[in-house]
Amino acid sequence: MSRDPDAVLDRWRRETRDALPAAGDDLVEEVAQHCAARWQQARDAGLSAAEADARVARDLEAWRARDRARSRLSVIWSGWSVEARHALRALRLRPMFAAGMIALTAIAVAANVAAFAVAYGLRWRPLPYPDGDRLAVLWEFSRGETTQISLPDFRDLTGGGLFEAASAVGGGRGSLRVGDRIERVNVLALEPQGFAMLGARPVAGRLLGPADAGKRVVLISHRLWRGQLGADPNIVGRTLWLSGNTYEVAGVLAPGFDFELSVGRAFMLENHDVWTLIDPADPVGARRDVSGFEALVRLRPGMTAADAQHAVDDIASRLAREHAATNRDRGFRVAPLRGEVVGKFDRPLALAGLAAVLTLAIALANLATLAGVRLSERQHELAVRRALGAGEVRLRRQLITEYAAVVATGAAAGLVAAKWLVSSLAANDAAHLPYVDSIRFDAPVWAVALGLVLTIIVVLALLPMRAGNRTNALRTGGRASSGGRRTRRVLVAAELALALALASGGALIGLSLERLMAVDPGFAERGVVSARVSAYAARYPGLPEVETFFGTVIDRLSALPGLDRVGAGSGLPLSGQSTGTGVVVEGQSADPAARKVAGWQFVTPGYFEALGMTLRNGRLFSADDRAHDGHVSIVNEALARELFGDGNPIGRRIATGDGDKSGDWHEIVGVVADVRYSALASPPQPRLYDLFGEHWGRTLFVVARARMADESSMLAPMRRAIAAIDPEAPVFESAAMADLVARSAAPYRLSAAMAAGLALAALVLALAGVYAIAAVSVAERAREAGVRAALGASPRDLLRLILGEGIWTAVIGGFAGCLCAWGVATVVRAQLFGVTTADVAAVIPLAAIALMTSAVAATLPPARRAAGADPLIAMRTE
Amino acid sequence: MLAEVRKGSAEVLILNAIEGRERHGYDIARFIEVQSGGAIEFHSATLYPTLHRLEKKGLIVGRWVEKAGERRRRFYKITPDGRATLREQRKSWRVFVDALTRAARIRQI
Repeated sequence: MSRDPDAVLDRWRRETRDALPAAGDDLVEEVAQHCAARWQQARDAGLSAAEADARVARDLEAWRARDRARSRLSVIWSGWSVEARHALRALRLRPMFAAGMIALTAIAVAANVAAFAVAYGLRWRPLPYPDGDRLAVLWEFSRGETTQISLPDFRDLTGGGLFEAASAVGGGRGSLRVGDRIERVNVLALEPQGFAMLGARPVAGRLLGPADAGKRVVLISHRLWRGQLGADPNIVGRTLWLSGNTYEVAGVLAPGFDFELSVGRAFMLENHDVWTLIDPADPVGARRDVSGFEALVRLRPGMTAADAQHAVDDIASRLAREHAATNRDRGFRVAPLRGEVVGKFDRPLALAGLAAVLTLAIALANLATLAGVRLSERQHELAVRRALGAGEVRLRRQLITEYAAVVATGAAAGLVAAKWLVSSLAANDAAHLPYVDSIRFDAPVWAVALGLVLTIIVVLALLPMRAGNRTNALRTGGRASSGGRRTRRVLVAAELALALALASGGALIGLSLERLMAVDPGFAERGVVSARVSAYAARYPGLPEVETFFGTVIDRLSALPGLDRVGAGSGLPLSGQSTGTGVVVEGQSADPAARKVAGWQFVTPGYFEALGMTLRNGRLFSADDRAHDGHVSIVNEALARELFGDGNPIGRRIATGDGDKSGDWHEIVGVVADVRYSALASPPQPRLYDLFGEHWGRTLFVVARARMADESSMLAPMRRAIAAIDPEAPVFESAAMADLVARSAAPYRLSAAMAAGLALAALVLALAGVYAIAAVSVAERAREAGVRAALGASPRDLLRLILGEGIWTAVIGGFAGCLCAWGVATVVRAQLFGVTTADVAAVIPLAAIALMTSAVAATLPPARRAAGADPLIAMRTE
Repeated sequence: MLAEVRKGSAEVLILNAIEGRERHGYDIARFIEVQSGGAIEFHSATLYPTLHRLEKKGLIVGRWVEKAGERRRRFYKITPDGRATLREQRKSWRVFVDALTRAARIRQI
């Protein structure tokens, strides 16, 4: 202990402040001067520093005794308030420490609370339906394809009382006339009991009952009523014009009521504005060979989905016998509703959760490191206070109060950030979360936030308070023991390891996005525009009318100056629309089990040219094909390979559906290149193209090649041209192909952005930790460096000493990190596009080297400082 | 009773210490210590609360003084009221000490 009067006085100011926590500054100054003078006097009298310390400490202890004597009760209470004041003062004195702790807590809390709020809302919160967790859907599957279900099959499966309740569901889109505009709305048809199963409640009018079957009555959503219909108070009983027919409004459903279900990979039943009953007279409903309905069931209490599946399997095998023609290869799957809606989010949620937990671990390691560094700085202060009689409990209580203050502040900031993160995620179209209303900040989320805060405080509170219990910190002048340093190095190594795991995970996700964007989709990504156009039945009753209508549309669009090469088809790559069919080759086995399954659509001549698809063999459809008697087809390369191997498909004949029985054979005239149809990330599937007119439908994608660079500017002229033909023809889903490509990549972009953000945060956290530790351990070892320098060690030797420690920590952390990263990569790779084991093997070492280099670089500035240590200055700190 | 005696004795000791000239707190403690031959030692926890009490009563005045080359210190000066009180206290202490001496046979007569 220096005898410099100012230093002595400063020290006793601190001690006095500590002993007289409630005193004013003047009194503290007086008493501190008193203590300092007394200490000097004791030293002058020949006492050792420790004896002088003890003597003055007794004096200060009298103040504490006086405090304690006042009132036991008030002391117990004032204890905490004193600690709190103490803690706040201690934090004010070290703003960087406080800011660091607050920032770390905020990051950890934000990441984890946001991840939990979303996961809880989607996975664990009860579905917004009565007994929602007993709701399930039935799918049909045949030859590996899951599809909708036919109404007769549905009746056979549910008619025997297997389920508590069941309703067939038919989703679709309709054209609603509002004023002089036509809008596309989502329409959902249920059976009367379906409304009860979903807990539908009207806010005006009534629900639909069995008596309404076959009548043109609808319910409308609250959103439609408040929005487009202007909250018309007399809406009940009014008529709506929908897809060419008029319907009477029977009621308005409660706000927020909806039914959501993923159908296939890209199609989603959701945002229904018009609700109606399934028309029992619809001829499609009587056909077992048309699988066009979703099926909603409620399991009986106590029945699991597996139980139901067994019973359904039994019925399926009976149906396979009784209706061999349609049901021979048909099975049915019972799927709980929740999994159907949110199942596709399981992996992103798991990834986000993993990343959040890693962030928490890194932040905890950093928090522990920071707190440990701070503790070691304060060893002397703590030792003096102990000598002055402060109990361990009291000291620990002060530390905990200090931690609680910073952690609570950080957590508050983290919660604000989490709320912002969650609401921007819910509003993000690219993420497209279902049940966004159920992602809320309420009791369970608060509980998790509180749990996080307590965990962080407990972890910090459990840190050993003394850096080595046997050391007498008073005597060592507050130097941390090597034990404390070792703990810190382990923490830093652990941090590096976790950061490496996150960083390489992020790099793999980024790599995956790059690979995805480099994929050739098989069609022109730029310069192509499309729109869906409907020829509804009321105006275009049959094929001739529909064919004429679309012929006119194509002619008019071709005449637009900005467009050439116009065509239309029932499907469009990346649109989410998908239909499949069985295919049989003439002369090959007609056994249904041997049938190949292919994606199927019909197109007009010009469709392939407009999309920029490549012809590999034969020819494309021409305008003459419709005039000939024989039917023609075009296959893609995948289907050609599947059906004929290396053989030449041109001129061979195939049939779809029951075509082999009816004699409806199609001659293959061409082979086109594969396209990525359902998603950029999905490999091309076999695909069959038939000619529009030989097969037909009412809603087609019209596609056109734009002549200019900015193809989107052609969308409005396209709509106008179609409106000139039929002002009531619905034109919807108009988009540039480039936008569909971007949309298909959107989830990957989202995860890439999230991963990059998290990886960056982890890197910054870890490197900041490494730097802080290096700086502190250098400061701690300043005396050692000084002694070595005095003994003749060169600056190089010193640099090597300090750097060596940093390098070892980095190497150990890097090695452990490679193992963690390998584990993370194994989990992540499963859902990444085009990332191979070789990529993983290349990315992880690269990331490890980059991270280790940065870690060593972070220790360089403090190490330099130590190397330049002036032996005198270093030793004078004694 | 005893507590009051102790309290009173501290007051008279302090007033006495600054009767001749103003002193700062540590100086007062040292003065008393030296004068009593080391027998009476004041804890700061006794000294400063007493000083502040005396100040409140108007018997002494404390002020921060900054002298060239020294750090600022708080010096205490006795007031006229303080002098009067000191005179009275000396008288009553004398009476008390005499009584105590006799009653408790502290000094063999």
